[in-house]
Amino acid sequence: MDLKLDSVSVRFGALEALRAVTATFAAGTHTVICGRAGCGKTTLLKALAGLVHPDEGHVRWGDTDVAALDRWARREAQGAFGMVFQTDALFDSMTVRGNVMLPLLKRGVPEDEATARCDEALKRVGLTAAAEKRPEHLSGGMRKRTGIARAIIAKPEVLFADDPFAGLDPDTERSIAELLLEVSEGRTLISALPDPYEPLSLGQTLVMSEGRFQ
Amino acid sequence: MTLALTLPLRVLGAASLSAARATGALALVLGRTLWHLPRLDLKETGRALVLFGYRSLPLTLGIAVLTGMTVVFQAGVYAEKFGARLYAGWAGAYAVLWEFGPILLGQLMAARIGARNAAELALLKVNGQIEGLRGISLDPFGLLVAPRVVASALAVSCLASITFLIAIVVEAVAAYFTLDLPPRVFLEAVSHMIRPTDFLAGLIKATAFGVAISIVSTACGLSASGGARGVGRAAAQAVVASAAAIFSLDFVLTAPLARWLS
Repeated sequence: MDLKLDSVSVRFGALEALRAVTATFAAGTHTVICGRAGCGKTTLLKALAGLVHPDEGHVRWGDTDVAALDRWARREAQGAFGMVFQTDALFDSMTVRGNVMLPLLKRGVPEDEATARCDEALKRVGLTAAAEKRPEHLSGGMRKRTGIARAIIAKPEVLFADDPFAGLDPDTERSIAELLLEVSEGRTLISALPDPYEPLSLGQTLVMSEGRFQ
Repeated sequence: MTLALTLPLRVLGAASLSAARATGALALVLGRTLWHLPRLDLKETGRALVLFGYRSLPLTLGIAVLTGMTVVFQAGVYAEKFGARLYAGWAGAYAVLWEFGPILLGQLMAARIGARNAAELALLKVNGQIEGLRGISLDPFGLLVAPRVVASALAVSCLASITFLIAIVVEAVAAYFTLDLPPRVFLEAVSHMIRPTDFLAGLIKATAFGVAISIVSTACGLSASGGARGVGRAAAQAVVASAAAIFSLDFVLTAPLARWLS
């Protein structure tokens, strides 16, 4: 299904983070949204993922207006989305396996099935050996891989990546880009980056400035 | 001139808005915790119980011992002065059950559990983990907040029971050394003059304080913003607001409980 923004505006008090943004993200395509810090790209990703409620406009996932759904229906719809966060958003109290399995266990998937799918996801991101480690004992790249494994374990149709290379060295950055491209095959991938990034820019590249596309 | 006239109104308006926001935040935490009670994450609740309850045990025991001894030293002066040594057991136990036990334990837990809970939640918020849960379509209240609120209330009520018992036993020992009152006599006075409802009153107060600490500290933690300063501010706010909530609840609860339980 396509994901569309229809004149979406988001305000945080006096700050207008998004100004009547309209865009279409076709199913299965890759998009890079780039722009300087504070230009609104993270807010745009969050609005698409249903994490930020637009003050005006609509976010459409197929025929569904995500922003108009109630909390429970929106959470259901969000099941089709996976997100890789800039800050990893991993829980240090859990192992890598615990973090990756979390979305499945909380949705009532039986533990055996969740473990099998977790092993598969960890193998895909090359973290099988680190399954029982805690995030605090991982390198930046490994934390990012854990975040990617958690984002894909529920088999989302759309994968959002908010500045996935933040704080990584060039080699790790390349390997994470390759991994993102690999795991997003057949999925919609929308990445927010400070600069246009060649390997991920196979589809459209949108440049943002002051809350709107240039 | 206009500024001088509108300033009090502005201050009053800002204070009212702030109070409304705080009340709303507390109501939200309480409401959403109650909503999640039937589906409580037992593993996370167990983890929080160990953290808040089991690991607070040594500190609680220390407080129980010091409180028991202090109450007897203080009561002993008047017991000897008025020749009422036999009432020392009743006075000591009554003071511990109704006031000193719940209040001191509450303040200790406000500093230990409240600050820790607020700081952890604030850190999870500023580091994006709370949003991360929403990003994988999970409700942070179900996973992080409800277990902490329940564990905190349970931990404080369990710790209160232990504190009361230890404090009374220590009082009996202290009375032996300071008033030359045999522990058997002291404990007989306690068993004859202290009713189970006195114990219940202390327990109800301590549990109410536990609930207040957890809700206040959770609201403080979840409203944190910014970096390290935001986390520090949330922890400090949690301790101060929890302490204020404890004294207010003690004032509100004492008279109705005394009437009801008598």
